[in-house]
Amino acid sequence: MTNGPLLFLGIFATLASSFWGLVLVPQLQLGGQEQVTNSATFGLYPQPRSGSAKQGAEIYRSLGCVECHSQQVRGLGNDMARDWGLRETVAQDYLGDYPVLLGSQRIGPDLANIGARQTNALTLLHHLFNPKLSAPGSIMPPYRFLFEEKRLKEDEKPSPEALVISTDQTRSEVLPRPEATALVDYLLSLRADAPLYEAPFLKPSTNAIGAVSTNTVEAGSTNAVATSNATPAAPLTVPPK
Amino acid sequence: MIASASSECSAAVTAGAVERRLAPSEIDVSCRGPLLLLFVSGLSWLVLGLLLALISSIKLHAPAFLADVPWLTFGRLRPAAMNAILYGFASQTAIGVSLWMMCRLGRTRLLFHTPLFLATALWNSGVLLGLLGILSGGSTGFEWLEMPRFVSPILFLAYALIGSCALVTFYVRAERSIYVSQWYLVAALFWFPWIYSAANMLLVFFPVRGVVQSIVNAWFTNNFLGLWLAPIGLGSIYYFIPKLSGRPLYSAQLAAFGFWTLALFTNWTGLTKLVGGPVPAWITSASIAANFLLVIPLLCAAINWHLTLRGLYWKAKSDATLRYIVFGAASYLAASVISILLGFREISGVTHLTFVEAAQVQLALFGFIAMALFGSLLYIIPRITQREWPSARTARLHFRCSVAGIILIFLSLAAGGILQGFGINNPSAPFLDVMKSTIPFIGISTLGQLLLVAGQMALLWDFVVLLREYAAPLRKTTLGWVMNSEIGKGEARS
Amino acid sequence: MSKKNKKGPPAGSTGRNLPGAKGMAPVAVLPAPETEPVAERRPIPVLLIPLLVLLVYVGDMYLMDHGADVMGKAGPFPRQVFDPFRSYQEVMDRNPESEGDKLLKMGRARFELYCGPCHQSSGAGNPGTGIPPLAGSEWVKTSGAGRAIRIVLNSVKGPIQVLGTTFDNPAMPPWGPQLTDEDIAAILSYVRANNNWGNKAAIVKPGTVKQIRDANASHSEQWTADELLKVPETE
Repeated sequence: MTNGPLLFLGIFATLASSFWGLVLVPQLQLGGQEQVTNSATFGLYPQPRSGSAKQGAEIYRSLGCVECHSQQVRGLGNDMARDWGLRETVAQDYLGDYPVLLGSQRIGPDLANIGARQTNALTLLHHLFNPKLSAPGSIMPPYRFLFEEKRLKEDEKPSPEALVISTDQTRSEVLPRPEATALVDYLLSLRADAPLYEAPFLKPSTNAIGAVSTNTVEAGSTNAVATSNATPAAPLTVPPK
Repeated sequence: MIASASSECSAAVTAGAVERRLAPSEIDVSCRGPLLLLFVSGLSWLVLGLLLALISSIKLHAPAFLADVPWLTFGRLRPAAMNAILYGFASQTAIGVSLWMMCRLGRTRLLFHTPLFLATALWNSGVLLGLLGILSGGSTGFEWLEMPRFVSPILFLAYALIGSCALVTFYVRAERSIYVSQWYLVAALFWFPWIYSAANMLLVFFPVRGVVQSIVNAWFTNNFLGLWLAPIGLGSIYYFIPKLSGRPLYSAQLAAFGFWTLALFTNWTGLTKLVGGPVPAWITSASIAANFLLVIPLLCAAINWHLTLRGLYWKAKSDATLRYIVFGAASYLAASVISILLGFREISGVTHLTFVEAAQVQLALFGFIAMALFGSLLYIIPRITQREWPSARTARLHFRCSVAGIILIFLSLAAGGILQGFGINNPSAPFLDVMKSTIPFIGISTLGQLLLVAGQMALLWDFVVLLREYAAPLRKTTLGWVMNSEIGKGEARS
Repeated sequence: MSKKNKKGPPAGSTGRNLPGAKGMAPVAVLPAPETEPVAERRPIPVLLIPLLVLLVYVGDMYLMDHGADVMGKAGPFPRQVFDPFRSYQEVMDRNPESEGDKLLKMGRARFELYCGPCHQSSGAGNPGTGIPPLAGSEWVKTSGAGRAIRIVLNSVKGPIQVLGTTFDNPAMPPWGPQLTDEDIAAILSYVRANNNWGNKAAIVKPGTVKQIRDANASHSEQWTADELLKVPETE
């Protein structure tokens, strides 16, 4: 093989083939996807995120949460039995995301549906502040730099959103910074539980309420995932030393 | 002597008619400056990247370690370490090695010193800015493209300079017949700018919507390893095996068959990373099909290398470079077989998103690519500086540390990952318990990281000693000048 | 490429080793003659070709069997098929048509045939010519379908108020003799649950229609609005 131009042509053609087949064709096929009608809520799906949740997505990206947490409920394996979602996630679920953070490692649990699993913002804040408190033995690092400690004046009452209040002589409380609140808003917005034709629920329902939709669920069945968590809604109080 | 030889040669070039082959040592000397800069910065990034990787590995079993420093949070350290290793070390060293092979195989001098120095400086400042960007929270969130968006034009510009120098070097080669290694080098030099610019365009500058981002990202990461670093690693293996064994390569036809099947199938395999994920099944199926077709180029390489080296494996005992190359070749075969296996849906259902995949990447990146590059460095550096390595012991230490480190990391991550995969698929096992059961394995891999970084520090130290020795006569001359001009000031002091 | 290229001085002997290097142990003796590698010309092992053909065939079959779905209903390479499904048919099987879905599908066809000509496909009716609307109509949206079923079975005579307009002479024929219970259930399901018209009432089952038809078998007159209003809304 001594023909330079031919060599070059071959080198060009081989990469062009996969660029065409794995990049351009998927873009033609999926790039034009639109929101669809959510047959459970009659709204559009996926909904755009609120401003705070959008900021939270930036924090999520910037802190590299994706290094440990995936955001995909897989059709292979046993994710749904683990209650990580009612159904697998499909292309439709990620339309509004940038960047799409599917993840490549599961050092922590999957978060594609965390907003449906865990609806309590305070629990999530506690988990960010000190994971070992809400999940003993957790290997997640504490994100204390997303919180600030505030000294309380003599007769000042602790704020209602305080996480930890120490009642010793130097009275102080721990408050979430805006970053932490935004991050939690983002986590709460992560719900992949709208019924979709291409991703049927594990238990298909039988009663129809939408006339033109084809895949339908009983109203309210989407709330079944939202298990209320028994973690303390009241701030933890550290007794005086 | 060197000076006279080169002036003689340049006279021959200006005459234009005289057919004279350059001596290898002349070629080596012509590569000296730019290559030394590429290699020394490459090894420095490697040590830095491995140190960052070591810290992040420690954080896995001690999450509170350095937890209050946002710049050193796990989610930033890991991509920073990976980027330092991929862009700082692997890409840079691979560029140096391929420039040298281009010159040697084409029997040409390395020209364009100024653009190469400039481009190397640009590349290194790009990597530095990129790492600072990731550590300060400016990551783009796309795997292996985490560096903030202003960095990619810098890197691309630097690469455009280097790549065109390399391709022009290939174009003006004096030896017109093309050897196997050159196919791989030319291909890699051409593929890299394509995948890098396409991925940046489609993900960062004019982002596509939804999961197409993940598709492009998976295509990019696969090709970064398979079409950029791996071909250069393969090029050096194809170069050094016949060279050091003293035999011609077993078969050029077999190599060509292997090259074209590899070129065609590798770039289709990237989407095995998304098997079971939110992309249409036909896309991942196409990748899986291409994935097991890789058996063909793998067989071609294995047959070709083995039949060239048959009966001469003992040479690896005394020849340091061959030792690295053989280890690299073996790792290449092993990592590829594992990658083929991990692609299947049945296996991927367990191993995907676990440490097993990290283990495979580590084996491919360090076991194959880094070892092939180390072997090349061991051969090239003494020739371009015309100096022996200062210490044989350090060189042996480097080999042992690297091999032990890579094997420890690979085995522990693979074992831990298999445990993790089966645990996650067992819904009755609490997730936290599953992760805790993998911690001992992570501990062993941290030990491996420690060995690996120790070995690299030894190599870098050796390299710096060599460079100091090499620079000593230069410094002496400069010092002499200074002493003469300052009228014995230094002598008075001593 | 010449294999006997022995030009050039051995790399280690160029006379530039300066005293600084003394005392250090050399790692490896640099081989004196430097030749660049060459490759011999040998044919490739013949078994590799059939192996390649076989693997291409297997890969092709694998792709066909896992998502390519060339003969499938959604066309080749469908974007709706995700793991673990292999074809569009499997996705359809996992979305079983419920009774409601079947009724709705059937209802649409029956409606267009029997009702659409007067009430319009949009359900807006034609108030100008005395045809009341169905979209948003309070006679349709009741929680039970009893009133609507009676209207379809025996028709209704005016005056009747629909959405604030009084229709004195709705000229609707009684459909009871002509349509089966299932037809009527399907039509009314489509009318009542039609989101596009703003109707979100429950579907109607054929059993309910049969029940009301049997209960009113003796009633052959058209209903009046007052009679209908006496029927409990939830029936």
